[in-house]
Amino acid sequence: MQNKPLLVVEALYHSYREGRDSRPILNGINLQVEEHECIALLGRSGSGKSTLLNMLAGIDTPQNGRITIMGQDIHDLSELNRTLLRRRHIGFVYQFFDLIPTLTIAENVGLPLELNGYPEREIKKLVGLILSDIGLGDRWNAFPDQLSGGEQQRIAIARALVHNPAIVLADEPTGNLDAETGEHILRILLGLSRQLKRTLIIVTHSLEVAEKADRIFTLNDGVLNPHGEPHW
Amino acid sequence: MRRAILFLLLPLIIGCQPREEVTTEKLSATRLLSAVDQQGFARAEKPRDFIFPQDHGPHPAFRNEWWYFTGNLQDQSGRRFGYQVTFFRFALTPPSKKPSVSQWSNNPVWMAHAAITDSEAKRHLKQEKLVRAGPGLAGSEAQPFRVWVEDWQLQQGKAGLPWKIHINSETFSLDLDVEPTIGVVLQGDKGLSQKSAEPGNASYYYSYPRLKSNGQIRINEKQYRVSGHSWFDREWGTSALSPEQTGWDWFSLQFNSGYNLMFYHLRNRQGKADPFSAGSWIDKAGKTKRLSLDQIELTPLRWWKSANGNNYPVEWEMRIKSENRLLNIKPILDEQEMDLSVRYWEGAVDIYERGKSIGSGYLEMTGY
Amino acid sequence: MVGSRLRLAGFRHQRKHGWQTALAILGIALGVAVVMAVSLANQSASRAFAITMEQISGRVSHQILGGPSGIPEKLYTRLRLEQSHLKSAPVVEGVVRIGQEQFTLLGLDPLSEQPFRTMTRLPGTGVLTRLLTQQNGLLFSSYTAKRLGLSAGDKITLAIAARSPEVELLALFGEQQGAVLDGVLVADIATAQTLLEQPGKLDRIDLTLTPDAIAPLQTWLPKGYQLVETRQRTSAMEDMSKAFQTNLTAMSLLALLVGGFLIYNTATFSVLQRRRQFGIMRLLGATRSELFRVILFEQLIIGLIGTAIGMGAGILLARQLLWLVTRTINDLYYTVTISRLDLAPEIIITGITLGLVTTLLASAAPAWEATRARPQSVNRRSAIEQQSHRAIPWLLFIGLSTMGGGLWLAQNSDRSLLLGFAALFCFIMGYCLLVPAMVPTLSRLIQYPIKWLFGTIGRLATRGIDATLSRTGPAIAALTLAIAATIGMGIMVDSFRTTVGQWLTQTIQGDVYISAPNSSSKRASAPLPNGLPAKALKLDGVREVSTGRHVTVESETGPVNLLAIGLASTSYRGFNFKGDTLADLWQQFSTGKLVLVSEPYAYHNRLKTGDKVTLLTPLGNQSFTVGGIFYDYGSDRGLLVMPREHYAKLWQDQAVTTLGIYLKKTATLESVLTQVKTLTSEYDQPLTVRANQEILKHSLEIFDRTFTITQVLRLLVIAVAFVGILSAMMALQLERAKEHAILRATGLTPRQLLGQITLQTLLMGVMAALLAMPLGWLMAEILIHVINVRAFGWSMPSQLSTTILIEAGLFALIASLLAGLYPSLRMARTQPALALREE
Repeated sequence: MQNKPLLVVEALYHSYREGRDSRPILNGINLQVEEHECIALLGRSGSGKSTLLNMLAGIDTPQNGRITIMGQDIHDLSELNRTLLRRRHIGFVYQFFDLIPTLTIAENVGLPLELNGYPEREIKKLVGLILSDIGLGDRWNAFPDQLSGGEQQRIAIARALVHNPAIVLADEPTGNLDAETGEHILRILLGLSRQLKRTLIIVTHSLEVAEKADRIFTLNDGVLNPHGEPHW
Repeated sequence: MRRAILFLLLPLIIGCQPREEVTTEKLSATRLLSAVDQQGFARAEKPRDFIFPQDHGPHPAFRNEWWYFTGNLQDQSGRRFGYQVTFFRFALTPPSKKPSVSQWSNNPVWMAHAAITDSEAKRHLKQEKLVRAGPGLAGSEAQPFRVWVEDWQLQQGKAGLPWKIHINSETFSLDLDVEPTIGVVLQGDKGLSQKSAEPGNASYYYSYPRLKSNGQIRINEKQYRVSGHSWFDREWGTSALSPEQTGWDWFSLQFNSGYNLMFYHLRNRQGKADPFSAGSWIDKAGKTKRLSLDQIELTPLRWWKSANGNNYPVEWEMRIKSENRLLNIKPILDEQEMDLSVRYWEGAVDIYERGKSIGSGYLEMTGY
Repeated sequence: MVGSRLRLAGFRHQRKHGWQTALAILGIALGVAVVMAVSLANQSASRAFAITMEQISGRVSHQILGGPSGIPEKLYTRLRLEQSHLKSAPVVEGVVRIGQEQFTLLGLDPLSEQPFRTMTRLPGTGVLTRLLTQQNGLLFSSYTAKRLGLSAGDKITLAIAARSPEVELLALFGEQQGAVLDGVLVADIATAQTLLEQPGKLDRIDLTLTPDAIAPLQTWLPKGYQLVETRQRTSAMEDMSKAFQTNLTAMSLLALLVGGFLIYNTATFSVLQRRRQFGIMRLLGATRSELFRVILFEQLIIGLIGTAIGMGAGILLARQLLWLVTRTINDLYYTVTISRLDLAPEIIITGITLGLVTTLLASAAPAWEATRARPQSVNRRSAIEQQSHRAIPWLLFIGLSTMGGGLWLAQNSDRSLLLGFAALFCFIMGYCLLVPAMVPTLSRLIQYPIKWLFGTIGRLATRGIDATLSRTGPAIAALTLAIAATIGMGIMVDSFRTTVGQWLTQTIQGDVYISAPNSSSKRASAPLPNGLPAKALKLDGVREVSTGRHVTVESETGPVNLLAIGLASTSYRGFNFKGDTLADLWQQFSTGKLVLVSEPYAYHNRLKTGDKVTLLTPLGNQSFTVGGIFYDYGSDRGLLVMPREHYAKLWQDQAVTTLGIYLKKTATLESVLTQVKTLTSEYDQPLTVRANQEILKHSLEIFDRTFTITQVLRLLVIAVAFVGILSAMMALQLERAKEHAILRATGLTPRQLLGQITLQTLLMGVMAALLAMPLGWLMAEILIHVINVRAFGWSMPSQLSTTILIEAGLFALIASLLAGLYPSLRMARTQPALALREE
C-alpha cells in the first residue's frame, strides 16, 4: 500500500487587486509532496512564491482550490485548529531570520516546544542538542542582535526544526546572506532535514540553491512547472 | 441625720450611670465626700427657732435638704402596702447673690425616689428621678408649700392641710393625702442633730412621726383605695461624714399603742456602732425622750441576699433598755432593695413583741 | 507554564522601552489618583457628617423644633411636667470659632443625657461637678483636642459672634482613634446659654419616642413647634451637599477617562511596535487567545503598578482636597469639621477596580487587534493603517449614535443628576470616537495651505498624520478630550460667574449695607442693634433704607432659608423673575399672603407660580401662595422672601439682620459712608459697613473660593492629558525613527527634520484644539443646562468666552509643542545609520 502524500495542492487560485482589475497571482496550482522529500520552488520576485508558501502554512487563504496536509483539508479547519496544526507540524525559516529580539537564542528555539506543551526539562535538553548540532551550543544566553546574520539564520533553522515538524517551509533562507554563508546555511538546513527525515520546501530565486533539492518547480505567471531534470 | 450619706454620694453617681461603677467606687466615695467644698454654705452650728409653715419650704443657704415620707397602708380588703416618697436637694454651689444669665446656672440637683411594696403580690416597685432645678423642673416653695421634681409633687391642700403627694410612673402611681396627728417633733438637741464631734457637722432635723394617710395606689392598671399611717422626716444642713462612718440601720416604728420610735444605728469601719447613733421615743401626745446608743441594743437575726449580691440583715432584735422591752422587727417582704443610682434597702416592717404584732414601721439600711 | 516565553518577551520589551512604560503607568496613576482623592475627600466629608450627626443625635428618634428664635425653655419644663414619661433632653446649639475654624457648640444637660449621648459620661465626679458649676467649662473630643494640640486644663479664647470669651477645656470625651467626633464642643447647657447669649432659649428638644407616643405628643405640642423625625432631617441635610459631591466625582471620572485614553495610546503603540514579533509568534503557532492573554496580562501588570502608585498619590492628594471640600461644604451647606481622611476599604477597592478595569478596557482593543490580524498581515506595515481607515465609517456611525444617545438621555432622564452625567459621558465618548474619523479630512484640508507655506516638509508633516492614523487618531482624541474638558468647565464657571455678577449687581440696589458679622446661631444671622434703621434714615444724604432679616424656618420639607425684607421703593428692581408672576405682584406681596421663592427652591420642590408653600409659624402651620419665582444664585438650597413686617408679626421677631441705605441723588457715597461708620462705631457690637461695590467684590471672592476645587480638578485633568499627549507624541515620533533616518539620509538637515516633526506635532495640537472647541462648547451647554439645573436648580445663559477658547488653543499648542520637543531633538541628533539599523 502506497503512503498517502504528505501535502496535496489542488487547483489553487488567488488574485490580488490592482485598482479596478484583479491580477491572478496563483492560477491553478497543483502539487503533491511526499514524505522526506525536498522540494524547491523557483521564481522571480513577485511571482507569488511567498503567497503560495503562506497558503501552505495556513496563514493565508486562497480564493479557490484546496490544500490537504496529512489528509486534512486545512481550509476546513477553524483558525484555532489551523494554528494548532501549524504549531505541531510545520516549521518556518525566513529570509529575515525573524527571531524575537527580546528573547535569548535558547528561548527563541525553545518557544515552539513550549507552545507544543513540552516540559521545561525536555525543552532544555532538545534546545541543547539542536544548538550544538548547528554549532552554537555556547551562545545559549546571547540575544539575537549579538549574533551575525548567518548565526541568526542558523538559530532560525534550529527553531524551525526543534519540535520535529513534518514539513519545514523555508522562504529565501539564504537571500539575506553572502554567498559563502548562504552555502553554509543551506548545507545545515538540508543536512538537518535529511538527517531528521523532514519534508523541506524551499522557496528561492536562486537556481543554485534550488538545485540542491530533490525536485524543482518554477512559478511563472501563476503556473507551476517542473524545472528540467531532477538532480539525484 | 439619717439619709445624709445618700446625698453625699450624689456627685459621684451622676456621671457614672453604669451601676457597677457606683458600687466599685462606693468606698472611695465616702472619702471624696469629706472633700466636697462646704465653703460658702451656712452650717447648723447651734439650735434655732423653727417657724412653720416657712421651715417646710427650702433652705437654700444649706448645701443639702430633704423631705422624706414612708408609710404603711392597706386597702379595704386588708391588702398591705408600704410606700416611700423622698425629695432630695443637693446644691453644687453656694447660693450666689449675682443673678445668673441662665436659668440652668448654679442649679441644685434634685433627686426623688419613690417605691411601693405590695406584700400580697410580693412585689417591690421603685422609680427614681434625677434632675436639676433648671427653669422650674424641680424645686421647693414655702408658701404655698410645694416640693416637686418634674411631675412628682408634694403640695399643700387648699386649706393648708392635708398635704397632697402625687407620684406617677410607668408601673405605678400614688396619690395620697397626709395629715399629721402628732405635731412637729424636733429631733436631737431642739432640732439640731449632731453628726460627729466637729461643731457644725450637724443638721436641722424635725419629724411628723405620725400622719393620717388616705388615697389611691395604682399598680399597673389596678387601683387600690388605701389608708394608714405615714412618717415624715425633714432635714437640712451642710455636713460631711466622718470617714469612719460607713453605713447605718435606721428604724422608724409606729406602735399600735400610738407610741413612736426613731433610732439610727451608725456603723463604723469595724462594723461597730458609732457613738453618735441616736434616736427618740415619742408618746401619743408628741412628748419626746431622746435615745442614745447605750439605751438601745440591736442584733441582726436574719440576712437576705439581693439579686446583685448585697447581704442585708432584714430581721432584727431590738432591746430598749430604758423601757425594758424586747422587739422583733420583720420585713413584710425581703426584697425591698432600692437598686437605683444609690443602692440601699428601704422597706416596710412589722413589729412583734413576744410573737404578737404590735405595730409597723420602716427600716433603712445602707453600706452593705 | 505555557506562555512564559511569550510573557518574558513582553516584559523585556517594556523594560527596553522604559520611558514609554513609565508614561503609561503615570497616566493611569494620575487618573486613579484623582478619582481616589475625590472619593476619599467626599467619603471623609460624608463620614464626618454621619459621625457628627450620630454622636450629636445619638439615640434621638425625634426632635422638637421651633422657629428662627428657637424654643423657650419653659416649653421643656412643661414637657417634663406634663409628659414626664417621655425621654427628652434640652439642647442648645450654636456656632463658635477658635482661630479661623468653626465649631459647633453643643449645650447639654448632663442629667438628661443618659438616654441619648455618651459625651457627658465622664470619669470621676470632679469634672462633672465642674462642668455643671464652672461657668466657662468645655469638653472637647479627644481627637479635636489632639489635633489642636490642647489638653485638659488649657484655657482657650473662643470667638462667638463679636465676643471673645475665655473658656477652659475641662476634659476630653471619645477616643482618639476609630469613629471620632470632630468639630463639636460640648458644654453644660447653662454655659452654652451664657456663651451664646441666649438665656431662656433652647434650639431643640431631643426625644426618644416609641411609635405610639408620636401622635399624642403631636397633639400636645403647642402651635409653632414641630416634631420631626431625626433620621429624616439628617438625611435631608446630607442631601444638601450630595449634588456638589456628585459633581466632584463626575469630574474625577473625567480625569480617569483621559487616563484611559493614555493607556489606550501606549498599549496600541506598544502592540504596533511589536507587530512583527507577534507575527512570528503566530507563525510559530501561538493561538490568538494565547497572544491576547499575554498582551492583556502585560498591560494588567502596568495597570496594577499604575493603580498602586495612583492610590498612594490619591491619598496624598486627598489630604489637599479635603480642606477645599470642607471649606466649600461649610461655605454652602452645613458646619462640619473634616480633618481626618477616612480610608474606607470600599473606596480603596473601587479605586483598584476602576484602575484595572480602565486599563483592561483600554488595552483590550489593541490586544484584540494584534491577534485578529492574520500572521502575514501582521507582518505588513500598512495593514494596520488600512484597517484604521477602513474603520472610519464605523467610528463615525458609533460615535454619532453614542452622541445622539447621550443627547436623548439628557432630554429624557427628567431630574436625575446621575443620568445627566451619564448623558454627558455618552456625548463625550461619542465625540471622541468621531475624532479619528475627522483627522484625515482635516489633514487633507490643511494639506495645501501647509504645503504652500512649508513646501515638501509641510506636506510630509500632514501626510504623516493621516498615514499613521492608528496612532495619531487616539492621540488627537485624548488631547481633544482634555482641551474640551477645560473649555467646557471654563465656560461653565465663567458663565456662572458672569450670571452671578449680573445678578448681584441687580440685587444689590442699595448703596451702603450694614450687617453684623458672625452669627452664633445656626438658625438666624446676627441681629443689628435696635433703632439703627431709624438713626440711619436720619443721616444726611440718605433717601431711604431697606431692612432684611435672614433666618431659617421650618417648612414641611425641612429647614428653609427665609429673607424677610422691608423694601425700599427701588428694591423691587432687585428681583428678576423667571416666567410669569401673579398679577399685582407687589401689591399682593405687601399684604403678606405671598412669598417669592428662588429658582432652586422652586426646582427642588417642583413649585410654580400660584402653588402653596407651608411654613411653621409660632401660630402653627401657615400656607403662602408663590407669587413668583426669582433668579437667585445665593444658595442652592433655595430662599423664600416675604415682607419683613409680616414676618415680624408672624414670628414675633423684630430683629433686623441687614440694613440697606439708599442715597439721595445729591449725596456722595463717601460722605454717607463716613457718617454711617461714625454711627455704627457708637455701638459696642462690631458692625460691618460695606458699599455695594465692596459687597459685589466680596461675593465674587466667595464664589471663586467655592469654585477653587473645580479649578483644581480642571488642572488635574489637564495634567493627565498632558502626560497623555507627551507619551503619544513621543511614541509616534520615536516609532518613525526609521522613516526619519531615511529622510536624514536623503539629505534633510537636522534642523529641517526638527522643523518637520515640530510642525507635525503642532498640527496635531491645532487639530485637537479645533476639534475640542465644538465639544467644549457642547459640554458647557450640557453642564449648564442639564447638570447645573439638576444639581442646584440654577438656570443661566451660557456665554461663549473667547478668552477661554484662546487659552485652550494656546494650551493645545504648548502641550503638543512640548510633547514633540524631546522626540524631535532626539531624532535630529541621532545618526541616520543607527536608526536605520534598528528595526
